[in-house]
Amino acid sequence: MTEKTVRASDLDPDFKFEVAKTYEGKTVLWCVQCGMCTSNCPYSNLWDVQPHQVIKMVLLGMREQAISCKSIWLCSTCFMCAERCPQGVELGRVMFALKNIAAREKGVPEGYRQIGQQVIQTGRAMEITALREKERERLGLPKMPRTDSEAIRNMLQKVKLDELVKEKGGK
Amino acid sequence: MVKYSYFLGCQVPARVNYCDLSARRVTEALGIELLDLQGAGCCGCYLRSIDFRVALTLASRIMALADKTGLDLVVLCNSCYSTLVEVSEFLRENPELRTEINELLASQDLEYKGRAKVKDIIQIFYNDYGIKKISSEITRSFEGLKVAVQYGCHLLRPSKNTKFDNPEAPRILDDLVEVTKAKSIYWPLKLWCCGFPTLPMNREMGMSLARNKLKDAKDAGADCMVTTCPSCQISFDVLQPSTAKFYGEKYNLPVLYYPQLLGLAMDMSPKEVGLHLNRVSTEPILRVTGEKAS
Repeated sequence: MTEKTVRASDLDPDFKFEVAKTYEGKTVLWCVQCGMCTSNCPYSNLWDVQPHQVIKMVLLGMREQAISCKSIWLCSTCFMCAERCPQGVELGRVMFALKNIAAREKGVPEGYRQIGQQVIQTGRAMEITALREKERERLGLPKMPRTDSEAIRNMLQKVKLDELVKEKGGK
Repeated sequence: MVKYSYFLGCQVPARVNYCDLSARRVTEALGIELLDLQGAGCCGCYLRSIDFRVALTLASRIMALADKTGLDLVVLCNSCYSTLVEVSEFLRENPELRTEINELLASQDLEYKGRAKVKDIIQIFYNDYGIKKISSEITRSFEGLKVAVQYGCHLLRPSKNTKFDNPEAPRILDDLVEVTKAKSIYWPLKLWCCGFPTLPMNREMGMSLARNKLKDAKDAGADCMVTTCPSCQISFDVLQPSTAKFYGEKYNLPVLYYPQLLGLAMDMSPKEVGLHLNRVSTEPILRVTGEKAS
C-alpha cells in the first residue's frame, strides 16, 4: 500500500485537523518524523504500516489509508511511543482517535464488537461464569459485587454503543 | 482501620480470582479494609478503542460511584487504573466534557465530582501503608530467590498521566519484592509489554510478546516472575502453557501476583494466597523457603 504513488488529488488535507480536534488526537501535529516511536514499538517489525508512517499518513491527508491499515488495531497500547517521544506526541492516544474514526466508518472488528455486546448485556467486558462464582465461594471470597447492568445499558444507549456494535458492525 | 473502596474490574473475577484472594488476605492482615464498590461495571478500557465517549461514560460512572462512598478507590488491574486516571484527567481539563457526562449521570442520581483518588494496590503498600512498615511485617525470608519484576504498562506509562514511578527506571515493585530478601534481577525486556491487549485482535501477535519476555526472564536466570497486573498475570501464568505449546518450548517459569509473594513473606500458607490456583507450578518458589506446596 505504501509503495504505491499517492496522488495529491486523493489527499484530504483537512484530515490532520480532524484528528487534532479530537480529545485523544490533539498532539498529532507536533510530529517531526524522527522515528522514535517506531524504534520503541514492540510490534513495529510485525505491522503493515509502521507507527511513524501512520502519523505521516495523517499529516499528508491519506485518510483512507490511515483508517484502513491493520496497524492501528494491533497497537498494544503499551504507550512506549508516547513515553519516549521527544515532541510530546501522544501516539497511543492518536491511535485511539484513528480507531474511533475507523470504527464508525469501516465497522468495528469482531473482537471488539463482542466485547461491546458483552458490556451492553452484562455491564462487564468479560463473562463471569458460574464456575468462577463457585470458585469464589470455595475460596471464602465474598459474592461478586452488584453490577447495575441495566443502568449501564441505559447510559450506553445514550452514547449509541448499541448502534456501533450491532451485528456485523459497520456499514 | 484504614478504609478504601475496592473495584475488582472484569479480568480478575473472570480469570484470576487468586489476585483478589491474595489482595484481600494481605490487606486484612495489615489492617486495611477494602469495601467492594457496588453497582460498578466495566471501566471502558477496551471500548476506548472504538468510542471515546463510551469509555468516558463507563469510567466516569465508576468514579461517580466512588465519589459517593467518600473513600479513595483501590484497583488491582493496571488497565482499570490508567483508564480511570486518564478519564478523570480528561474531565478535569475539559469542563464541557464534565458537563456532558454529568448530564448523563444525573439520570442515575450520580455526579462526577472528582474527589475520589484512584490507587493501585501496589501504591497502598508502598505509599499509604508504607514500605518501612511492610518490611517490619516480613517473617519469612526469600533470600536466594531471583525475581524478574514485571510492571504493568498501564501503571508506568504514559508517566505524565499515570504518575506512578520513574518510567525508565521504576523501583516501587522492585523495592517491595526486595523487602522479602528476594533479589530483583536485571532482565533486558523488563519494561516491555506482555501483549495482552492485542489478544482479542491477533492472538499470535499478542502471544509473541509474552514469549519473548518469558524467554528473556529465563535467560537472565529468573526463578520466577512477580507482577503488579492481572492482565500480565493472565499472559504469563494462565496462558503460559498454551504459549509454550504454540512455540514448542518449555518455560516452567512460576508467575506470582505481588500480594501472593507478600502474603507468603508474612507467613501465610500457600493456600491462603491461592497459590494452588496459579496455572504454572509454584513449587520452585516454595523450595526456597523450604515449604511444601499444599
